[in-house]
Amino acid sequence: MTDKAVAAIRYKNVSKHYGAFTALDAVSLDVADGEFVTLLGPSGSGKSTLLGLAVGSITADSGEVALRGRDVRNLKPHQRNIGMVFQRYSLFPNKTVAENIAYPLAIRKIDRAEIARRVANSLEMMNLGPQSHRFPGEISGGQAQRVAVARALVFSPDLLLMDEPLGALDKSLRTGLQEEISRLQRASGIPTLYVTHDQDEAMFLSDRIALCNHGKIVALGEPRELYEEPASEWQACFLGEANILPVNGWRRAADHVSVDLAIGTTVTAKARDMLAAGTSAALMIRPEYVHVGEGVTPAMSAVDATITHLAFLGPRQRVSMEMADGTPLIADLRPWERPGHVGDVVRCGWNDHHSRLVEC
Amino acid sequence: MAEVRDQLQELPRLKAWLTVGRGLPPSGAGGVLLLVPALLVIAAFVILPVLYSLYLSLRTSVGFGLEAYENFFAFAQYPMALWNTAYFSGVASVATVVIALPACLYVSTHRGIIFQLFLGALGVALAISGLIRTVSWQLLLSRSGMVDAMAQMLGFTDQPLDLLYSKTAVLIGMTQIMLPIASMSLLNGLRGVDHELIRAASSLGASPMQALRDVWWPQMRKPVANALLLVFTLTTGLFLIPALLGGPSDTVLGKLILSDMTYDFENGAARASVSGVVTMLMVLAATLICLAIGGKPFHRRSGK
Repeated sequence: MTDKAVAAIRYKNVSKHYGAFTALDAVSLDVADGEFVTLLGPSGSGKSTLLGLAVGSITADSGEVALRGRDVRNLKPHQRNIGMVFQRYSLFPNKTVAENIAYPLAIRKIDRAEIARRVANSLEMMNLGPQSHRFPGEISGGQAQRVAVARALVFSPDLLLMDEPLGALDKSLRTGLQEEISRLQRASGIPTLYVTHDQDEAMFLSDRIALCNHGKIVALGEPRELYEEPASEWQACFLGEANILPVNGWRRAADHVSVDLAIGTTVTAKARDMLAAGTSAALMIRPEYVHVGEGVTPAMSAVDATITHLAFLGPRQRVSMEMADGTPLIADLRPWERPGHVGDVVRCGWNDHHSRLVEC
Repeated sequence: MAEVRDQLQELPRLKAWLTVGRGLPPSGAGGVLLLVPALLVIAAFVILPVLYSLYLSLRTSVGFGLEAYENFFAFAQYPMALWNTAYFSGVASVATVVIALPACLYVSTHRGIIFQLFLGALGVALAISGLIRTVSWQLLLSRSGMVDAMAQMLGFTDQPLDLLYSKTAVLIGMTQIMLPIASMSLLNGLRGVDHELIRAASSLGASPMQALRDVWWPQMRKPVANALLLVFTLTTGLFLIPALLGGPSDTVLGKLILSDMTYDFENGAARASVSGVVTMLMVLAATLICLAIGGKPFHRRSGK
């Protein structure tokens, strides 16, 4: 019925302004069939505006939004066949859980027996059987969230949109629901566009992550790619934690770059091909790749630093240090390692293929 | 919840009403004791007078009977006043709510300056005495008044409209007097309307009309019913407006009660009591209608 080759949703050069504020600046994005794409970014970065364009609560100033190849301007909001999960769930308080889930089916005039069957299936799949005759005011936040997801999926929409659906829940509850959302999405194969500002959530769920900032998608890729090969300091720090070492200058060699650190050491590192010569840059190393003391091998690039703080976190321990010029350096070590004591000057090292030169 | 409470900060009066209930100790004898003064006042000043007027309306010169009620329907002026009262209150309550609803819906979704301005305007409207507002309608609607002059100037009519001393004038006056009160009541109720539910319904495939029927109206019916009932109940007691703006055939029951009590207490008390009881029954009927309009609560819980 639907053409699999056509993107579930395609944004093409979409812009949206509110007075002087630019919510979206010529954004383009495709979500393929069955794909889970997350829009990750700080508030005001335009991610919710992208969802609004899809459901029809916002219209674009310029550019094109197409659902399965059909321009949204030709579709009224209720004709778009999009399932949406709202941050506040937006369940109907005057309908029971079962009636809430049945609503999109009833609107579509599906016959009663079929509605009953699909609602029962959905309730069972979401483990909501005992709650089916309760009203939204009587169930927990986690349950309400599952009802909202069930309601958005029950009519087999062409696209599922979720606007920070776990934002209002406890951390412990979130993890379980993330797994559930992931499982359901894979099982149903419904392409999904998910908005969050929680990077762990984005990494856990997504096939691809679109990093949003100032109305633009600044990076788009698989979680591993974005985490390990960020293009800029902002990206490196927004997705995960990063050590940023100031750089005086750098030169491109055959398959690596040679970097003069501000503290005087010259090291080699990886860099994106796109990074133009002369761009101001910094060296980025993830804390888990920094070794301290005995862990440093002769093959590594190394600097000296003073330990300022030690924290034992269970699965790992966090060592906070300061380099000679005051640049902070953090390392995540395995629990059994013994980096030293606060005040000690220690040797810190990293393998060159773990450090990246990023734009700053 | 916290958000709702924040919004209530801006409605000091309503906040006072609402927090009285919430501030009570959760349960137990101590909390119930706090109700005693209020219950005593209600018993002394509401229930006893009602019972007494029922008693008066049934007492005749020879004992007890329905004589006063028979007289009520025998004199043409009483049924006419009854009809007038029902007509004025009914039309005024519907008109008030219809006029106030769009503005209140708009304001209820706003905070800050628009909301404050609206509340301020309501406050000013309430602060000006109803008598003064009624008298100004007398000036505006008179033969040489502004309304007539405007209508003739704009070419709607070429002769005086003769609005003053008519049912229309009474209705205009009542609606205007009641608007700020109805707006207060509506605004309070409509602040609880969740407009995002309409977006949710629409994303689930509901057309605008279906969303209106399934999500919007169920949220609004309670505030609307409350405002209707409030205006209806209050207007049944207004006799000054019909007296000042209406003609001789626009008398209401309240006016008859007044004259019965003033000029002929011997026989008048019984007649006035009958009028009172009839008014009460009318308000009771209006309450039942408004209960039906109000429907089931929107935030529902299953009976356990």
